[in-house]
Amino acid sequence: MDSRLQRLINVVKRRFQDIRIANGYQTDLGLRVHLWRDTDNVPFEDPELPALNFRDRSADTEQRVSGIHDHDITFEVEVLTNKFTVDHEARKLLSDVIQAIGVDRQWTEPTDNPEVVPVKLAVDTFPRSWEFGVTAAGKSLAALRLTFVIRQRTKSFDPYNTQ
Amino acid sequence: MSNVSQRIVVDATKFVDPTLFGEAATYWLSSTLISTDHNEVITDDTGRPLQIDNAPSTSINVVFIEAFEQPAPLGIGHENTGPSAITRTADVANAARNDVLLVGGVYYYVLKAQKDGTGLTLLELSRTVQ
Repeated sequence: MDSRLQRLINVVKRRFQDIRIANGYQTDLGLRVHLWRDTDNVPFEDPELPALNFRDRSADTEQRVSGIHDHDITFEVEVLTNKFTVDHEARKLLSDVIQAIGVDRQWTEPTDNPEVVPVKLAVDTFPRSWEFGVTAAGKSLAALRLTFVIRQRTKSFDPYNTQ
Repeated sequence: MSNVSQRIVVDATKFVDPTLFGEAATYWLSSTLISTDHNEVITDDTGRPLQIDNAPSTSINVVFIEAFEQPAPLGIGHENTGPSAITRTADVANAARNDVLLVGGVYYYVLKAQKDGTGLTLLELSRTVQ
């Protein structure tokens, strides 16, 4: 059985993979989604771009009086593109990522069984920050790094349950 | 007086002009280089397409960019391993994977063609058929 955190990561990854023009986004960034890709040792190559890499980087946990833990999990999203007009493209990619995060702030776990009540894996989602970088030494590259926080609730010291 | 789109075409032509930033090159569509025996582009040991002598070609001007490595912004790991060329979109309107560009005496194969919307196209290149 997966922990609620693992289930949340699965839903986040699927959400980013939904970033397709056919789904109403401006780009097909969802075709190249990576989770915890070690880009220091496995750097992106041009034919792979644009690409998205995300990490559940850290969390702050608070003990509530009612015997539950609220985990504020910080997600870091990195996007790299080498399209010709890189800054314009990067803003489109940023817009798509922000839009995808906001589709469902409680990150409901999809189910194929209509008799199963979908599980909301988070309490809420909060934007944090984003930053851009552009280099144009020969070829142009633009990168963006965006952070956001998902608040997830579990029973105290029980990663699998909420009640 | 020229309109904006006409001026863009003129600027693109100037940009790749060999007397300014460009150099002369020769371009073949991959569809004209496909070996009927193998249904793909076949090369000799030097990377030269076997069918190239009988295939129609186009003379174009390009700004050629050598392969190099470049750190990505924000420290995101990126490895740029391939050469590329910028040319007029009008000259490579039907660009496709494995089209051939001969520049500086070396045959390159198109990996990807990206139009920039202002009359120029970036050709990502490889030394080998992909």
